[in-house]
This record gives sequence, structure tokens and C-alpha cells, in this order.
Amino acid sequence: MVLALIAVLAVAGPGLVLAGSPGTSYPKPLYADIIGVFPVCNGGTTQLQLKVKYSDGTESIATSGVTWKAKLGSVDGSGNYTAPAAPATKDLISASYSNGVGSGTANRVITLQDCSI
Amino acid sequence: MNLKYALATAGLMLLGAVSANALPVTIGISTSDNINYTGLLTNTSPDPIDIGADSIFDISNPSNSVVSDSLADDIFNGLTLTGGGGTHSFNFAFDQAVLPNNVFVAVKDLNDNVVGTSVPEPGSVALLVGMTMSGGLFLARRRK
Repeated sequence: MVLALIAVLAVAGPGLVLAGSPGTSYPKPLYADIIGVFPVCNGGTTQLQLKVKYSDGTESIATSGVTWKAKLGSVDGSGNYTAPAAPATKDLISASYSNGVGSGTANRVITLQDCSI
Repeated sequence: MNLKYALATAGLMLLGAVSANALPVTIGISTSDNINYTGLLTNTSPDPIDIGADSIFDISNPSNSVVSDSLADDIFNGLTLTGGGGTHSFNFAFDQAVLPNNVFVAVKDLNDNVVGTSVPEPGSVALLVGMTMSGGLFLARRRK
């Protein structure tokens, strides 16, 4: 009986230690999509958001862990995009994302237009 | 016998689901060092597809970063995959090693539809199951 108890502890103990206490669990991000109101006028602005699809089939708008970048225009840390004032027909938006399990990047070409005419 | 018919029916249902979910662009990836990757897009549909967005994820490491992605520039320059097997190769790299099984690449067309992913969709697994079931039934009937 004592031996059986020792055997159970020997097997279960390390497993319990390795598992640790229950913490926040994240689904794996599979891909992400940059969304906003497009096209954007040259010199105009739009609010960008990153919609992430996860391995469990869910998708949600990322509210943290996103870093934005634009090839021609500019994006602040909150996703406020400003198109270049100089005439251009398109821009490339990039977003980097991490959620505690996975990380990656999404890119999207958006259309710009001259709204002065 | 009833079980065989039930399995065959399930298999055919799964095959139907697969045919409805098949994506037109296949994405193959390869690497020799788990950091620098080469990808290949292949358009299996008869129609040309304009690619408007891409996404590359390491689904195992929250601190890994994509440090280069030639596909993004290709898309910016107006990437069109010609129909009937048109291909396009691209390169990307991470700042830390990641196993190919943990790399997930997806591309979208200009209408925001996902047209290709680098790992089997659930439908592809269903295809395998469905084909196995149908094959089993065929062999069982031949033995009678």
C-alpha cells in the first residue's frame, strides 16, 4: 500500500509541478486581416484594426500586441493611418501581432485616391 | 452491413463538404535552417487571381518576428496568379528558428477572401477520411 502511494506520487508529482498553476491560455493565431474604411483620400485618415483568426475557429479584433507600419503613409500606435499627401494610388500596410502563444505579420495593399477633384 | 452503408454515407457527405471548401491557391513552404523560408503559390483554378494581402505566423512562439517578407512587396507591385497552374515564389525569414509545422501562411484576394493557406484546412482532413471510408466500402463489397 505504501509502495503504491509512493509510486503514484512519483509519477504524478513531477507532472503537477511541470504543469504549474492554471494561467491565461491563448488560442494560436493562424492569420490576421487588416481592416478599415478603404479607399483613403490622399492626405486623409482612417482607423485601422487587426482582425485575427485563431486555431479554435474564433476571430476577434486585436486590442493589444499590435505594431503598425505603412510603406508610404504613417500609422500611430493606435492604428490611426494617415495617407501620404503626395498623389499615390496605393499603400502597403503591415501589422505585427503577438498573443502569448504565437506571433506573426499581416500585410495588405490599400487603395488611395485623389479626393480634390 | 448497416454500418458499412452508414460509413459510406458519412464519407460521401464529407467529400461534398470538402468540394465546397477547397481553396484555389496552394501554398508550399520549405526551409533548410528553420529561419529562412521559401514559399510557392500555385493557382489551381482556371481563372487568374489577384493577391491583395498575406499573413505569416509562427503559431508556437510569441516573441518571434517576421524580419523579411518578399511576398508583401510582390503584392504591393500587383501580384496576379495566372489561372490553370500559375505559380509565384517568395521568401520570408524569422528572427528565431521555427519548425515548418508551426509556420502558417495565408493569402487573400482583392475582395478579402482567403484564397490559400499553407496547412490543410479541416476540409482536407475530411477528404482523407471520406476517401478512406469509401475505399473500405468498395473493398468490402468486392469481397462478397
